[in-house]
Parts: sequence; structure tokens; C-alpha cells
Amino acid sequence: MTVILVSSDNQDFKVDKEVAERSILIKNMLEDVGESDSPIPLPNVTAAVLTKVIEYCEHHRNDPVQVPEETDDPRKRSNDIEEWDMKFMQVDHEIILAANYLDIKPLLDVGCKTVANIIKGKTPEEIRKAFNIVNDFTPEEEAQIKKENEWAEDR
Amino acid sequence: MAPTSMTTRALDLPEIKARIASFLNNKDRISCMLVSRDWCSAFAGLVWNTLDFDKDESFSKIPQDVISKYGHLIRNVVQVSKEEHIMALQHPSIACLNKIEFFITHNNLSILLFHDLVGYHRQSLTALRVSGELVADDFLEEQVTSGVYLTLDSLRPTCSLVSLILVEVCISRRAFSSILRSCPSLQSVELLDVIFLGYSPMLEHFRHTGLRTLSAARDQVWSNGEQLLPGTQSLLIHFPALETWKIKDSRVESLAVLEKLKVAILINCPKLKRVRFSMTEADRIATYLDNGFHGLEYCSFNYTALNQPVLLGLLEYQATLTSIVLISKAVKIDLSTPDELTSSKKMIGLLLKTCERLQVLSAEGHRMDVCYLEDENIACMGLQELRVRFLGLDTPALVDGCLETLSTRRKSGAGTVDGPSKSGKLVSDRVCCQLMRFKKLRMVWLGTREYYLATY
Repeated sequence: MTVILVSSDNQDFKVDKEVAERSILIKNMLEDVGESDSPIPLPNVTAAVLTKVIEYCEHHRNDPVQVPEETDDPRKRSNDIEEWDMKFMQVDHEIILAANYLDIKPLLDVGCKTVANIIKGKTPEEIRKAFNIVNDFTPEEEAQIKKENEWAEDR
Repeated sequence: MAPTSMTTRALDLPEIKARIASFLNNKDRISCMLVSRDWCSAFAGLVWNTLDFDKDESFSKIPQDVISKYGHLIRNVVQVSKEEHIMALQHPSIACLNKIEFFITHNNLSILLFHDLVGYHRQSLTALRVSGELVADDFLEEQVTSGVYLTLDSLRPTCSLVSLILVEVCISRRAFSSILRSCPSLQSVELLDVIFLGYSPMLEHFRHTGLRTLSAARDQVWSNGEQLLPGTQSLLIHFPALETWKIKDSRVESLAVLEKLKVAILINCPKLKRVRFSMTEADRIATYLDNGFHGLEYCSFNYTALNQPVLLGLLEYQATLTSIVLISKAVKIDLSTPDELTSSKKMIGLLLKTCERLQVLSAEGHRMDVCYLEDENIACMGLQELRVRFLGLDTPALVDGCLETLSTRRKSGAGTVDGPSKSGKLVSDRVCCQLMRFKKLRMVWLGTREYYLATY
């Protein structure tokens, strides 16, 4: 069974239902409308990004749908990105937004891990540079926050 | 990697920042807090989420105004043991704790403060662990005089607790019954060397209908009360909905005690179908299995404990067993890990031949010979999950090749089995062929990673 997804720039994508349902958003939409051939509009995703997302879902079609959440350890590992996923993420960061919107948790995690790996070991100034962020703290405020959180640094 | 403007846009969303924070350590999280105001609030949540007084000794010295600013973010507090720890937690901005782990001492003030803390957070608290310390002495009388007594009346009238762990404390049966009554959401209880006192047949035994999981040694729920006060009702009377029991190690009991326990389970916990043994001694597991349960469905123990008496014990439940999970000693098993048991081939095989309702077989330490599947009459054709390694499939390439073929053939929906010919065929083809026969198989692990198969 296949479904038709329509990107924001009006391109149609024909996808296996099983693959499309990797997206919890689409899965819920399909359950809500029931048996229907009508295309599913995805106004927040461009054709370029949707192509990549579908490529990811195809590659991971045999993975478990719900990865058990390990809630005990608040810090998760970020060094376990699969080689295929790593190459995949290097291409485009817009995917993180799409994964968030389409509710594809494993893809969102791969994206967030990739960003986390960029942040690791950087100073605040280096992080600002990497992501084009303007510092809206006064030097005093910055020093204060640093002092307030010092106790937690070694964990 | 060249940053794009899109990265910045994704990073505008607080929920994405919070998710990124979950992959960082505190040092990096704090660097992120210093990036901008927006980032500061998104990354502070996880920095302040958990306080571990073992590591964060300096926390009690943090000025009050700093706690006012961030205290509302604190959810879990662990390794709480001293008065000053609890004093630090009394700040009004710390108003929503989910988890408290407390080491109780003989200090009355800290016990009092602890009860205050628990009482204050009982509407948000979901996990509580209290551990005391018993003297290393086998004489119960000695332990009773020196033990730490707990009442936990602070949980009343109702508390949102889901999981409760008590370690090395003394508690009266009335107090225990009262805890269960105050915690309607309670799902699991773990008891480790808890001494139950003050039993009287006149006591009301609160029966908790939501509690599904118990983790305790058998002498914990059964015989230690019996020793002190003959005629004591088993603790099992409180758990009519019990489904899973993780049995910790305890002394080997006489057959008479076992028979009594069997009756107690039947009367009090008719839904108990799942047991996990955390002990390693095969003879103890065999004793428990033999006579111990009724209609066991799930059984888990250490792989190396599988021997003939244990196997015989398991076979008592061949008509009902759906899951057999044999845990390996090694933390991580890969293709090069040797089989820890030399005589396992026949035993695992016998389980496959007899347990016809088996759905899950996990024995990562085991190396299976594909000949066995080919030659013997396998009963468990409804198998859904399999974790073993196969002799001859000893490189990742071979395993992956075998499973890719399996996955492709399953997807094509064929479900057909090639002829039984095996001579001259590659091991990976033969394994693939055999696994095709299990039409309900959803997950396979053969020493590399988990493969999820398409289902019809």
C-alpha cells in the first residue's frame, strides 16, 4: 500500500505506507482519515528536505517503531551515530526541523546528536560563532551565571 | 561541518535545545547557558535536573538567591544523607521533586527532616528509595535493636508514588500496610534486607490491587517474619495483582517452606506468571522452579546456571512458558565471545522441542548448531524474538548477509521454505532457511545487532 505526500512546493511523493508511518504525524493522520487515497499535504516541508527524510525512513524501515526511552540516565550518549546516519546528517540541518514537525524521533535524535557533537568542548564564544548567535548578556551577567552554576560543572 | 542558517532556525525551538542538552555533559551545558538569554533558560533545565549529594557536596553551600532562581528546575535528589542536605532542599523554590533517594542514619533530626521533605513533596513524588544500615550480624534480635526504624506516615493521606525501594530498614507490618494504602499508583516495590516487625493476626492487611512488580528475596516475603513470630502471614497477602517477581538471592529453604510458599502464591497472587532470578547458583534456581510456581510464563536467570536440574524445573512449565531469557555474565557479547556453557546444545534444543508456546528465546551466550534446527522436531513455531549466535556464523559480514537475505525474503512475502537439502550449502543459507520457518519472527539478534523483520 502506498500513500502520496505533497511537499510545501507542491511536489508529489509516492511512498510505501510502512515507510511513511515512520513519521508519527503521518501515522496519526492516516489513522484519523482511515482508508483514503487523498494526498497528504506537508506545508512545512520542502521537496528537497522531504526527499532526504524519505531516504532516511527507507533506510530504517526495519527498525523498531518505538525505541524504548531510557529515562534513568538524563545524559544520553551522542557517540553512537551509525555510519550511514552520520554521512546522511552531514548534508543538511533543515532535517532536524522536519523530523521535529513530522515526529520522527530517531531521526530527530540523530540530528540533535550531530549538533551536540559540534557543541562539545567549545567555549560559549565558539558556540555563538558556530550557530550565528548574538550575545545578549552583559559581561557581568555572563560572569554571574558562570558562578551560579560552577558547582555542577564536573558532571 | 559548515553551519547553515537552518541550523540556527532549528535551534530557535526550546524543545530542540532541550533534546540537544540531553546529549551533553554539564560542562558543555553550562557553556550553552552562557551563549545567550534564550539558550540559558533552555539548557538550565538539565543542569539542575538531578542533584547527587555524593558528587555535589558543595550544593549545600550555594547561596539562597541562586536556589531561588533555579530551584524550580530540580526534579531528582539522590544520595541524600545529611541534615545539611535536607536543609538545603527546604528552600521554597524547590517545590516539585519526582525522585528522592535517601540514606537514613540513626540521627533523629535527619529522620524527622526526611519525613518533612517526603511529606512536602508527596503530590509530585513518583520514586522513593530509603536505605538504612543493618549491622553485619545474622542474629535477628541484634539487628532489631540496632536497626533504623521507618514509618513513612508522611506519605499519608495519598501520595503519587509509583516505585518504592526499601533497603536495610526495620518497619512494622502496620506501617507497611499503611504505605500501600496511601500510594494507590504504586506499581513496583523492591525490598532488600528489610526487617518486618510487629505482626499481629488482628492487623488489617491492605491489599494493593495496582502493584504488579515485586523485587525481593523469598525469605523477605516469607520466612523472616515466621522466625520471629510464628504464624505470621506472608507478605504476599498485600499483593493480589502481582505479575512479576524478581527473586533476589536468599538462603536455601526446606522443602516444607517451599510447599507452604506454593500455597501462599496460589491463594494470594494468582496472577504471578513472571519470575526473574538474580542469583547465580543453579541448585537454588532448580529448587525454586521445582514446586515453586503455577503456570509460569516468563522465566529469566543466568545463562551459566542452566544445568540438568534447572532444565527439568523449566520443563515443568513447558505448556505455559512464553519467554525464556538467559542472561550472560559478560557485559557485551559479540561474535568472538566464547560459549560459557559446553553442554548447552541439547538443553536449549530440548526447550525448543517442548515449549510449544515459546515466543521469546534469549541466550546471547549460546552458540546454536543449525543442524539441530534441521534435524529435530521444533515445537515453538510461534517464536517472535530470538537472540542466539550460530556456529559457523562468526563474522559480522556472514551474520549481516544471512539476515539481509532473511529480511528480503520475508519482505517479498514468500514465507516459503526451500527444500531440506543442507549438504553443500553455506551455513548462512541454512540458518536463513531455518529462520524462515518461524513465520511470526519479528526480531533476530545473531551476535551483531538487532534486526526487525517485516510482519505479515
